[in-house]
Amino acid sequence: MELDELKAAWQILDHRVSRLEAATPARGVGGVRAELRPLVIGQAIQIVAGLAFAVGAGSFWIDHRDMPNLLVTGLLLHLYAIAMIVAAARSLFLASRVNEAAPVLELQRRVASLRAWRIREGRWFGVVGCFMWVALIVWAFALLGVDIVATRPRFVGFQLATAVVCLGVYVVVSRLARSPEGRAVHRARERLDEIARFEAG
Amino acid sequence: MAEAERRRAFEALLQTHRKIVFKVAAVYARGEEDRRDLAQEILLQVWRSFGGYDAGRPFSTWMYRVALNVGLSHARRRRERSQPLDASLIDTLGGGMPINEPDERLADLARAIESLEPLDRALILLYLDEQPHAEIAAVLGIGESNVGTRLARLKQRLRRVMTGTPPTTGERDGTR
Repeated sequence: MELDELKAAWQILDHRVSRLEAATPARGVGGVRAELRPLVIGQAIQIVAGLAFAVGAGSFWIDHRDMPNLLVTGLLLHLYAIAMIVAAARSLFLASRVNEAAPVLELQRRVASLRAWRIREGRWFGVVGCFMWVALIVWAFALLGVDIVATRPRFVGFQLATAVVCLGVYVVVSRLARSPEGRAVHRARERLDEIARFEAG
Repeated sequence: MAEAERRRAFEALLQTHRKIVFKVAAVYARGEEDRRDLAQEILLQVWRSFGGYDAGRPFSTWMYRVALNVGLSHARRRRERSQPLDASLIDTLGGGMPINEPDERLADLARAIESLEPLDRALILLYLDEQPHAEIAAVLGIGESNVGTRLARLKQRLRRVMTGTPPTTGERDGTR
């Protein structure tokens, strides 16, 4: 089959398509923006939660400026809360740039950069999250009036050791190609490669 | 613009350009039901995005963009990189009832398009639809001068696929 024949075949398709009646009412809602809706809702919730968390952690370290253990814990939690807000805001910004009427390559690039950012962000929160719950335990005890770092240092040390193990497991699992994250990374790379191949002609 | 007026304008434009929807659906969907779902998805998205359409610009460019973007995301969701254009579905495009007898040329067309990556399918669809290079450039978001070069390479690749010639080293590596 030559290209001319391909064109002729396309004309047959064109002819058949022209006979079609209008489509029946839609059964499903699709498109990139519809796909992104859960992400947008999730990120909006993350911003609200991050704000509440930042206020709580902020007032905590301000109230415990004279207790270094709790001051550091509060500051770490405060930073984590701010990172939650910033990450969600960036995801929302990237999602807002996804518009189906944009030129095809531009939209594909924007979707790919949003996915790449989501993977990087997920990894960062995965790594930091392994340790952050130790800070949360210290905070929770402090709210009950107990400075767990001062009274039970071995308990806190054990939690930190567990966090290191958790980090090791996280790193190993995320590097496995068959893990959900491994697949997501692979798909994102594939998408970027595909755009690069197309751009290279 | 009043809602009724907007709807009338949309329907008039859609009537003229609706073939775009079905062609994109034929290129990116797999199987009869999938094709219908995709056509509906595209129509729905075209209607939803219509508020953002600038009447001073060609409707076909805008509609190709929306349709191809929905088609690409649909294809990606279903991970159908290798089976886009099903020859059997082409023969039943009219809602499950055969429009015509099966055609070997359409099967060849299906096989040729099947061999392409999703973005290349967009390019070949616009080429086969005889869109001018300026229109292809506007739809895809690439330079007008690049369209000819890319099309020439794509046609070369297609010719090889159709004649069964093995790809060059560059093509195998994805560098061309």
